[in-house]
Amino acid sequence: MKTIVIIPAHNEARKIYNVVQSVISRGYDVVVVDDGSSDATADEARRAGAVVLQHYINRGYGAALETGNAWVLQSDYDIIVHFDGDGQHNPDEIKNLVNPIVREKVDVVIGSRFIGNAQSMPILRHALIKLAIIFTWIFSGIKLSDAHNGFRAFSRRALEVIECRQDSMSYASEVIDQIAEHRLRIGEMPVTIEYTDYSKSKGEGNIKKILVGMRFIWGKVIK
Amino acid sequence: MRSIILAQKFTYPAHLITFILMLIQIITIIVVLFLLTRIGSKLKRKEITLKEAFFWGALWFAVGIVVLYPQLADKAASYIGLQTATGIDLVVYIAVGLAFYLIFRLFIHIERIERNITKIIRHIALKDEHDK
Repeated sequence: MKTIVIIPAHNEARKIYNVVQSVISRGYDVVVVDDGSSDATADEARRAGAVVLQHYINRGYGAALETGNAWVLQSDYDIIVHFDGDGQHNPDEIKNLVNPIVREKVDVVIGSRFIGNAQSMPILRHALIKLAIIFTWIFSGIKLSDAHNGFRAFSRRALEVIECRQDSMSYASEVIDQIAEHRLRIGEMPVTIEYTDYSKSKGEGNIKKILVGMRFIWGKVIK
Repeated sequence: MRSIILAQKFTYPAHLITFILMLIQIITIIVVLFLLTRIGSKLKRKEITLKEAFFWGALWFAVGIVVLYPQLADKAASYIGLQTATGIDLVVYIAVGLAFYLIFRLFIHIERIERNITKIIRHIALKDEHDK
């Protein structure tokens, strides 16, 4: 089964070469979506061997992923993986992530920080995530152990029916919503997220997360 | 004699107030008529649609009526069940409601524009890579 990894990136010139290389060296094709970066992200990604799609201006995380999805659907890949461009995801775990789809048990797999390995994180952040899980469950009926995880895998069929229009981080919530709407089979897989000083400095404050939730609701209202 | 005249200069007899109110009404009527003609000409030059012209025309017409006959607003307020509110209050409530509605419409419009921008950017991104 042909697998491709989509990596959305905005100003990741420092890390993107290594990230792309680490995925390619494990035998996957990579398409990087450069979301209006002002640095050399696109060039670095190309140098590492990825196909690069470039947004002329910054449109957001969700928009970048959707562009990647649109590209992939024009070719013949069977499995599509969403992977972070800042080095937080572990490329060795791609194999585990896509496994349930390969075995045709589910259509979508979302990574989870909370199955099996207990990850330490600030209490407030943990509480916020628990809240997000309940919130996701209310809206989509799907109860996940990790409401907002960027490490995802889709079967081609799943990606064909999912229609996401949220351009920002609220894409993460919209995807789950779409999965519920199209009654796709969803599964979770344990993944590890590496919070380095670099990725922490890129700012994922708690308030931002709340705003993401509100933005998602707004998106649903004006649909 | 002089001091009586000076004293009279600094008081506000009833007919002076009435005069000022009439002045405001006359100016308002002139402004409203002017705006209505502006709306008419914009409609003729197809700068606005019939619906829009009607909306704004009716709005300014209502403003003119309320200024000329403020008692109407009071009657309208008590008619719809407001007891302690006067006509002016009703006007304010309606204005606020209208403002919220218009803001909501603006939000939706902006959202649509953002989505369209993303569509264009995506198209360019895919096209650039295909054309390579």
